[in-house]
Amino acid sequence: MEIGERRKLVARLLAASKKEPLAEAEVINSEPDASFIFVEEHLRQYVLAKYMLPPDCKKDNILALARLSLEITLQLDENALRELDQATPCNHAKSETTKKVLLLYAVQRDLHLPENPAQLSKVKTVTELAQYVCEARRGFTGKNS
Amino acid sequence: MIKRGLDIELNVRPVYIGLYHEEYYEGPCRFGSGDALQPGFDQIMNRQLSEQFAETVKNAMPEKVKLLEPIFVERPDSWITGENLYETLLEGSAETDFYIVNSGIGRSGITLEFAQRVRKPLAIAPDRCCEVPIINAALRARGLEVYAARTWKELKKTITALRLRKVLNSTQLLLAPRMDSHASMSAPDTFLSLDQVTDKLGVRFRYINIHELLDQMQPLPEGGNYTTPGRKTNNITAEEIAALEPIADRMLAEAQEVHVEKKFLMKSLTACATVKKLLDVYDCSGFTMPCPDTCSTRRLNEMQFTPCMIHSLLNEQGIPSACEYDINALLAMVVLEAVSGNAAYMGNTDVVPYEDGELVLMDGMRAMVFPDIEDKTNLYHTWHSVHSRKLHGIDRENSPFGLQHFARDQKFGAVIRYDYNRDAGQVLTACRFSPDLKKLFVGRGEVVGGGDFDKENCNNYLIYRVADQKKYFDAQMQVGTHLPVVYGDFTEELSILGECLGMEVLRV
Repeated sequence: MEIGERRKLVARLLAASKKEPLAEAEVINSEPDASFIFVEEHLRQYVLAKYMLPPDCKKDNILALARLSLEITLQLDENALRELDQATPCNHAKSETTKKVLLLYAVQRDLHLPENPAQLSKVKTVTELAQYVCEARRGFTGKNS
Repeated sequence: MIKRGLDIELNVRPVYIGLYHEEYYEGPCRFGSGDALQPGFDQIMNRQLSEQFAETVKNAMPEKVKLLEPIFVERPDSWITGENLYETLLEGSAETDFYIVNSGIGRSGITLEFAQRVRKPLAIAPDRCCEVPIINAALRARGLEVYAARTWKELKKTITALRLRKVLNSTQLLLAPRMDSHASMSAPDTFLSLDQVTDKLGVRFRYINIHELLDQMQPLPEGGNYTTPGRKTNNITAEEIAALEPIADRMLAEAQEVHVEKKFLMKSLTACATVKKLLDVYDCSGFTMPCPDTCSTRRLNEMQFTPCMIHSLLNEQGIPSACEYDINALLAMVVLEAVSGNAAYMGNTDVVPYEDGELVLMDGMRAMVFPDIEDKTNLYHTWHSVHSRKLHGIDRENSPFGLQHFARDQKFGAVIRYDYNRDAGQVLTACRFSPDLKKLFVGRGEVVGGGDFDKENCNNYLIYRVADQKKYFDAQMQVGTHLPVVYGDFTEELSILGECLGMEVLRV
C-alpha cells in the first residue's frame, strides 16, 4: 500500500475509533436501568471499537486487548508507540498501560460516571468493567480514595 | 526458644508516591496529550502503576523476605501536602526493615522528608530514571541510610545483605567458657571486645560455666549437680537420652564406614542434645565451647566424648556451633549459614605454598596423606573434625559420610567423616571478621578435594583453590586462622554486608 493510501486508511480508522465508541456509549446512556448483560454487550463493542479490534474478538483482559490494538496500530503508523510512550515518560508507564488507562478514563467520561479511581483502577477485564459501570450507575457503597 | 538465623526474614515494604494534576494545562513538565492531560486521568494511572510496581517488587525479592502491605499515596500539583500523607507513609514503620520507594519528579521532596521521619533504610526502585541519583545524593548528604542499585537483580543482593545484618542483630549466642569468658587458650584471634560486638552488630551473649554445662550432660543426681548443689538445673533426662538411641542406630546404619562403638556415639549425642536443650532454655541460636581449656580439666576424658559431634550436628540443623571458643568464627558461621541455607564447616586454615616445583607443607600437614593434585598452585587447606552431612543444604538429604573415633587409645569421641573429593569443582565462600571489627574477610574458592577420611583424631581435611594465594594469605593475616566456609558463591552479598556494617571488605 502506498503511503498516501495508508494515511487515508489510518485517518478513516481513527475517525471510526472515535465515532463508534461514542455511539455505543449513547446506547448505554439511553438505558439508565439497563441490565448487566445489556451494558456488557455494548461496552464490549465500545472497547473493541476504541481499540480498532474486530467486533468478534473474544479476549476479555483489557491489557491483552491493548497489546493487540498496539500491534495493529503499529502496522499502520510507526509513530503511534512513540506518542504513547511520550505521554507519561516520568511515570515509566508501558504503552499498553497508558492505552488501558486512556480507555478507563474515556469510559468514565463518556458514560458520565462519578470519579472513583481506587475502584476503577482495579478493573482488569471488560466483564469487570461492565460490573463497575453497573455499580457506578447505581451509586458506590465503597469509599473514594 | 532457638530462633535460627536462617529463618529470619527481612520485612520489605513497597511505597508508591504518585502525582496528579488538578487542572488541564500544558507546559515544560507535561508530556501527554488529549485525555492524558485531563484532571482525573493521573489518579487512575497512579493506581495502575502502583499495582504493577508492587508486582515487580514481589517478583524481584530474594528468599527470606516478607513483603509487607504496599503503601500508596499521591500528591496534587498544588504542592499542598497534608500531614495525613505522611501518616499514611509511616503506617507500619515499626514492622518495616526496608522500604523500596517508587516516586518521581515533583515528589522527591516527599521521599526525602519520609526518609528523615522514618529513619529506616530505603532504596528507590532501580528503574526510576533521575530519582535514584536525586534521592541517593540528598539522603547520603544528610547521613541517612539509602541504597542504590542499577538493576533489580543488583538490589536483590543488597536486600540479602541487609537481611544478614538483621540476622546478626537478632542473634544471641551461648558461650561456655572455663576461665576467660572473652578468649580461650587457643583462639586469641577472637574479638577485642564482646561489648564492641554487641554495640556494632547487635549480637548478644549468654554464658554458662563449662563445668555446669558438663554436669548437666547427665541426669540430675540427688542433691543436685556438684557445681550447683541443691539447685534444680536443666540436666538431660534419662528419657531424653533414651530418645537418642534410634538416632544413633540410624547414623550407624547409614554411615559408609563405622569406626566407633555405639556407646561412644551415644555419649557424643547426649552431649549434643544437652547443648541443644540449653540453647532453647537460654533462647540462643549459636554455641561455642573451648577445646584445650576443657580438655585439660580431664572431664571429657572421664565423660568420654569430644565436642566435635556437638558442632557437627548443630550446624547440620542450621544452628551455628564453633570449635575452640572461637566466637569470631561462630559469628562468621551465623552469617554463612543464614545466607546459604547450608551447614558451615570450620577448621584450621593454612596456606599450601608451591615453591620451586614442590608443595611446602606446614608442620601439621606433613602427617597427612595428600591427594595427588596435578595443579598445585593457589591451594588452601582446612581441617577440624567437625564435618557435616549437610554441606549441600540443611534441608536436603544427608550426603554420604563415615563415623570415626577421636581418641586414639580409648576410642571415644564420635566424629563425622566426609570425603571432599566428591565435591571437586564446588565453589565455596569463606568469611571471618577482623578482631577489631574493622574488616570483613570474604573469600572465594573452589574445592579441589580432601583426605584422611579414615583417620582418627582431629583430622579429615578439605583442600580448595583460591584465585590468588598471596592475596588470600595477606587478607587472612588480618582476621585469624579459622576461616569458616559454606558451599556456594555468596561473596557479593557478604561484601555488601561488610559495607553496610561500615567495614573494609577484604574480598579475595
